Amino acid sequence: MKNPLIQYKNITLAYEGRTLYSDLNFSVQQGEKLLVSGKSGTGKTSLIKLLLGFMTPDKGSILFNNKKVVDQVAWIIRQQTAYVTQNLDIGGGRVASIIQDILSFKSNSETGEVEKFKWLDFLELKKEILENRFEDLSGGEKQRVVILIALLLSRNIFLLDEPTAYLDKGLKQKVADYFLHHPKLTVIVISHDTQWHHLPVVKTITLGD
Amino acid sequence: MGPQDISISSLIFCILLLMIPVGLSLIFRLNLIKSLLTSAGRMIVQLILMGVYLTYLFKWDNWMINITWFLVMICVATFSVVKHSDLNRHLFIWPIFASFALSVITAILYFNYVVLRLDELFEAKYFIVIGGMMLGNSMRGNIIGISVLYKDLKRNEERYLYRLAAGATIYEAVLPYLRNSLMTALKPSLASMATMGIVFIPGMMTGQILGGSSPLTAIKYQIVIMVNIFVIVSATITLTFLFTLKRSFDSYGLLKKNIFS
Repeated sequence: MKNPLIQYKNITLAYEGRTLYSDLNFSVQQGEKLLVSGKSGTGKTSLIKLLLGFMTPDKGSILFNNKKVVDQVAWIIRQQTAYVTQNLDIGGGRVASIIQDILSFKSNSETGEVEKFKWLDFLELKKEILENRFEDLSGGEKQRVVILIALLLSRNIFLLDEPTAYLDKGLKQKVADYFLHHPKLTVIVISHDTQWHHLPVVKTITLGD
Repeated sequence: MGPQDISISSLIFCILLLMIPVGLSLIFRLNLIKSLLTSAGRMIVQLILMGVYLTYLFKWDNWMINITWFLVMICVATFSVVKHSDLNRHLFIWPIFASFALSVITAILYFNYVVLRLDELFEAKYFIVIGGMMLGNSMRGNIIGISVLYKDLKRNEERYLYRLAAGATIYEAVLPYLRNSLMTALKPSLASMATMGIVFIPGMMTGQILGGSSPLTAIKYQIVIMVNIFVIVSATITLTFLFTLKRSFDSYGLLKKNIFS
């Protein structure tokens, strides 16, 4: 078996005086899909924040491509992963400007908006939404815009935090199917939606047991 | 030809006019009297001191003294900005001082050299007085701009983190916050420029006209001052941002916890 792409080793994390997990171990191979479940407040989102370097574990370490996640590695991870946040407040103003702004980061210079319309279609969004103000969109529309941006970044590792919570059933299935059945993509997904619970395609861990 | 002087007794009569707001405060129970008296007292004392030091600065008119004095003024302005924006003194005092000094001194020297073509660039009348006016008028904008920048970052940290996660450098991730802070700080200047000359006669023009300048000279000075305030506010905020960028974020790009005092 190859070395895992992402490896959480003996992670202990406390938040506001409460231990979320101690000695947590799991790993994700390239192309693998991992579903993280657990009640709210068990630190699911923190798992992603740890990988992105937004939090540091109290004990243990995370390896990315066999490199320990320290500041320099965190910056690389942020350039190689696409993050769909649970918190849909990603910015303000025209949807098109938000997208353009994020794609204009130097590290995103290889990506393009050429596939924008294909993904808009896939996410069942109308073209006109690009001209709307992000803050005026509904929860479901915001969520789809965040997914759209993640897809446009054309990265192969996806960190999805409740990515389908606000979508209707059909779309939940469509989005989950896309990510779960794409062999190239490595996916860590946090979700309560059953559409992601697709054994044996995904392996699962449950926090807070 | 100077303006009509105001005698001490006339001045006292003028101050007696404060009895009107004091009376109103009593009637409406505004609880204003104490703060009114301390503020008015401070104003009088500070202005007397200013009258004294300006008299000596004009008398000596020595460039070294003038520069030192101006740096002291910038120091006081810096403390005021840091205090009013609730920022961590240790982290921000030097960057704000440096940005202030750099932008205001450049502006005043440019004004004295290029615009006025003075022989003596550090002449107290221009360097201290006009410089002080630029400094004072740009302070409010700077306080607003610098505090908005970091408060906004803290309040909307999730947006900032989202940008980092999408591959932004610190600079790229902070850019919308910088934009917002510059816009917020410059808006009042924009508004006052647009209404200038319609609503009221600015203090400096009043002073110059009373001092015997022609209205045409006075408006030229006013234009220069307004332009300078705008330039100084935008330059100071941008420089402060650049100078504090390294200190305010850790190596992961996260806003340090001790930014605010």
